[in-house]
Amino acid sequence: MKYYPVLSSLFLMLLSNGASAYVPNMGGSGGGGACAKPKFSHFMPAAKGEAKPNSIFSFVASPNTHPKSIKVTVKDIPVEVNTSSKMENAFKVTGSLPASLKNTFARISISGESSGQCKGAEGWLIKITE
Amino acid sequence: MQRQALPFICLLHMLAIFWWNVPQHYANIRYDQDYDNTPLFAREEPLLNAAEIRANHTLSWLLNHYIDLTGSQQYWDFFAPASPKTHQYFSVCRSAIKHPEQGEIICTSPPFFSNLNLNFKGFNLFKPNDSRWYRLTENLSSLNDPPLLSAFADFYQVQDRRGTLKKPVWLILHQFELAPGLKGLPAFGYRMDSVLIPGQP
Repeated sequence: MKYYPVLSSLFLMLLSNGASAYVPNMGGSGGGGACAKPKFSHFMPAAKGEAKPNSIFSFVASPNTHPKSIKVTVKDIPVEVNTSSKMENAFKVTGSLPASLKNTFARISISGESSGQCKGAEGWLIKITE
Repeated sequence: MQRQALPFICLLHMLAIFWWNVPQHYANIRYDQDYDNTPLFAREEPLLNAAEIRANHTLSWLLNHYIDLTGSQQYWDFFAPASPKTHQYFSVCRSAIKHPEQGEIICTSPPFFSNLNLNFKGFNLFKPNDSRWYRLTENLSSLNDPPLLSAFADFYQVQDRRGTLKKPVWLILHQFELAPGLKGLPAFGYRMDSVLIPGQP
């Protein structure tokens, strides 16, 4: 009988991956299909940068993001954002930092959904000056 | 030699994950009385019996240590590196106070449970239980499943009821982000603590 170590390994890895699908969020590919999460990038001001109170911040959301699902909070304060129309396969999102936040560190937290209710979250830390 | 070892490593990995998914010490689980008499339980029991490995068995020891060692890396799907941006841990306590300005929630009584290890002295290859706590925190926080969180808090509430005070317990998720390049940020980072199960103030 011939022995195929590579084929055996692949077979076992597939079985192993199937096992991991029993555990939620374990990383197994089974039990839920592909989920293309929305991605957020091009943060302004840049991460670990400084900004003035009430100044403008912006970021880019990937084209698979549902624009209405985008929610932004700055240090847990909900912020209204404007989403541009789809340009160059992405959305540009802008908003204003809360005027009440002064001389503090704050995390701008973003959440959003793509098709299939795939949820994505991102965020970055900045310093808000006086 | 390396190629020949690969199938055995994969087999160990697969076996460990299967073993880990089987409820451990199921014999000690107390089912509802009615469940013991159902046809489902009659079919389930021999399956669990077959899968159970004695605690002192060498295979049990090997699988247990394998899961302990790789517990926090199982997201890898073997090889992808994990790079947590936010660090997190749980606290369960009888009373707590919020400091919204600092984003911090502090237990004001000794916690019944906390997986924050302030006495970290180094990594012990053969006692890496921290990976299990890390995994528990990650799963409970990311799943955001109220019944799971309630069950976790209820366990400690039952413990509390054995004492003199009978108050609901707090389940707090402590999160912090370290940003070394951000000037003026405290050494403990930017705190984002949140209450998952509120207790009494």
